[in-house]
Order: sequence, then C-alpha cells, then structure tokens
Amino acid sequence: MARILVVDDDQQVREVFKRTLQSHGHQVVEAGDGRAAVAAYRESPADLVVLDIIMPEKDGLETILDLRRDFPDAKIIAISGGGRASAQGYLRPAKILGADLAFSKPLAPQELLEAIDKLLKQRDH
Amino acid sequence: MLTAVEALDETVVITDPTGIIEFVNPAFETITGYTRAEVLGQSTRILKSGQHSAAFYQALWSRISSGKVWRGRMINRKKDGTLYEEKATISPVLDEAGRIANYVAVKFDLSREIKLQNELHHAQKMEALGQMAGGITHDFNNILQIILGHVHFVEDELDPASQEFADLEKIRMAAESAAELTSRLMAFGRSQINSFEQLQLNGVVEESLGLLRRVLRENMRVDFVPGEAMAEVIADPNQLQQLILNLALNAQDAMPKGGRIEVSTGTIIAQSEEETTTNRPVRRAFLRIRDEGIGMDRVTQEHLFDSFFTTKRIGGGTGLGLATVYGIVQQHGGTIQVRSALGEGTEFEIQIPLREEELHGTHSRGR
Repeated sequence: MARILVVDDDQQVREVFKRTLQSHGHQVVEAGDGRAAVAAYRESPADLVVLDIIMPEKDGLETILDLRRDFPDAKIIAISGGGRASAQGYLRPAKILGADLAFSKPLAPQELLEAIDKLLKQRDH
Repeated sequence: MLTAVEALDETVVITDPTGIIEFVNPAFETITGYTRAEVLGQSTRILKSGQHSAAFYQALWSRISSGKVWRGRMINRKKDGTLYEEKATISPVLDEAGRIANYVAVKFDLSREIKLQNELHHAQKMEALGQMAGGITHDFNNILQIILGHVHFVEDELDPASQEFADLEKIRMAAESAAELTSRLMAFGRSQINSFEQLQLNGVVEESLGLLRRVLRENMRVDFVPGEAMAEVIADPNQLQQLILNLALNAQDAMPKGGRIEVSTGTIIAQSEEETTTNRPVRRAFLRIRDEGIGMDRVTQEHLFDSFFTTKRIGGGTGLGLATVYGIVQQHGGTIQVRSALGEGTEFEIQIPLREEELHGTHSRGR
C-alpha cells in the first residue's frame, strides 16, 4: 500500500479520488493547487502523485516541472478535464514534461487503481 | 467638375425643388441597379424602402426646403427590391434670387461597412463562446468525475442483482455518454494549427465515408459524387472529416425515417470579393452535403452557425455542431453557404481555396 498525494483544485473531485484510493488501502494526502502540492511533497515525498492539470496558482504542467527537477524519480499520474484545448491537448505536454501516465476526466475508479498499481510495481522493481 | 462627379465612389443625385431626379452619376447606377435613363424625370420616392416613417421624410424635407443641409443615414431600395443603408448629405442649391433651384444628395453606401462590422461581431462572439465552451468542458468533466465516483461508491455497497444497482448502472452509462460527448465536442472545437497539409479533397471524403457508414443509422444511404480527382487543397484532414461527420449527422437528424445523403466535390469559379481585388476569377474547391430532409425556415438558417442554437429537443443536440463546422471552414479560409427550404431538404456548400490559388498568394488563411 502506498502514500499518495492527490492534487486537484476541486474539493469534491479530491474526495472521490481519496475515497477510491483509501478503499484500496492507500494513505492519501491532499493539496488544492500545484504550489501546495510541491510544498507537501518537499515536506514528505509521497510514493505517487495524482495531479490535475488546470488549477489556479500553479497549474499541473508547472508542478510536474518543479517535482521532476527536485525529485527525478517521483511517480506522477496527470489527469485533465480539458479546457480550451481537449483533455488530450493538455495530457500530451504533461507526458512530455514528465508525467508517467496521463488520463482525461472522468476516469473510472478501476482505471485509476490499475494505473497506480502499475507505477508502484515499476518502482518496486 | 462633372468628370469628377462621374468618377466618384459616392452616389450623387441632383433633383429639382420637388424631388424630381435631374442627374445621377455612374456610382448611383452601380449601387441601385437603375440606369440613368430609367430614373431621370422620376421622383426620388422610387428609392423609398418603407423602412422609415412619414415623420422621417417630413423632417428631412422640412430641413432642406428651409435651406439647411440634412445629414443622416437612410435605408433605400434597389431596383431588384433589396434594401441598402447609406450615409447621406442632402444640400439645397440656391439660384441668384436666393430660391432653391436644386437639391444635391451625396450618399455613401454602407453595406460593406455593415457587413464587415457584422462579421467582426460574429467572430468576436465565436471566440467568446469558444472560450466559454472550453471552461464549461473542464468544469463539466469534473462534475462527471464526481458523479461517476459516487455511483461507484454506492454500487460497491449493493447487490449487483438488485434493482438499485441496475438503476445506478443507468446513471453511470448516462454520465459516461456525457463524457464521450464533451470529448467529441472539444475534438471538434480545437484548432490543429500544425496539421495542415496538401491533400486531395476526394481522398478525405472517401476516408470519411467509411466512418459515416459506421456511425449513421442503417436506414441512411450515403452517395459520393466525386469531382475532379486532382482538386488539391491545403487542409487539415482531421478537421475536414469532423466537418463532414457533423454535417452528415445533422442530415441524418433531418431524416428521422431514413433517406439519402449526397456528398459531392468539385471546383467552382468563386463569386467572391476576391475576384474584384485580384482582377481574375478565383477557382475554389467545393464540398456539398445534401439531404432530403425536412429543410429549414429562414429564421433557423439565420442562426444556424451560432453556438448553442439548436432546434433539437433537449438531449437531441448541443447546438455546437454547426458552430464548429463554421470554425473549421474559417480556419481553412473558406466560406459556407446553406440552401434550404421547408420540406425540400438542405444543402451545405463549403468552398475552400485550391492549392494552386494559395500559391498565387491571393488568400491568407484566417485563424
């Protein structure tokens, strides 16, 4: 089981991810934007980050850059609901910048859990 | 003096004190469609559009007959019945005795200005709506994430054989199809600036046909009537396919009992303003999509390309499809026209510049 940092500016979305992850035994830490996420990760690195892209203060793309610079091994899953571009339009740069996996919202709970398992296994090997 | 008046872009009309036309310049003939011979000796009333009140004309006449100059805008009627708006200055000309001998009207046709202004407003509106749609999509997907997440939580607690579980499955499926819809809308709306390439229009249509036949209902028939095989355009194939798909889906909606959609391509000499600015005819590629459906009235046609305008019942359409089509056509530097009448079906015609014309530099693609 892992310690997972869930970053999303929408509290209800965080809640959904948190409950999904907790119900599978993961421990969850929350952050409401990229700045808080980077601070939380610096204070105590999580095993994995579930990161929204469009957020105030510091968006997900900037957050990926910051995390990757200081923590090259951080595991990051980017999730976007889209915006002016499609969700895919944000997810491609997210992967280029260093997200390990990228998904568009809405994401089925099972899909998220499988993605997390896959990344954690990579880490363990 | 007379030569200068003859060469003016402004319309010049000279009347006697009672409003009987004594002189018009060539610009008047061009704009109104009347020849000089047709209007000399006629009253200026032949231009009346019926768009102004009697009080408007009374105020005008009372001002100029008292020796003052009238300036303002007025709507007049051309020979063919169409209306046009012009900015006019009407001045009385006095004889040696100080009596009004003539009136001289110098008028500037505002049609082009008004058309440009409308186009600008339309472009601004589309841009604003595009931004709004992007924002809505983001929030909408977050909401769907919350709905689907909670459906899952409750389902986890229920017996999969229960009615409650079955009801929740319906909510889940509806939320998933809403998610699919937003992702399609965003795909239609996004600009793919870097994917323009030189291609044959017929090839794009042929590729789209396979997709159409899979997506459309079984009672729909799609026929392709290809034009010149070598008609090459500079276009984004994905966007063109989206455009064809959107128009075909609309055509299908217009034929609930099934029917035939005809897609045709070819080249055409464009009847556009470019023709006059480049002094040579401009050939363009066209793509037509015609249905045998219920057709549209004039009001529907006027609002057709507005975002969120829809005639479909709730759940039947978002009203973004044709706005997206319009956006795609704009990005290709093209034009779109619709021909339709109630009960007689609808035909959309898209014209986009041919590659050879782009090489002449006669067209810059709008973004």
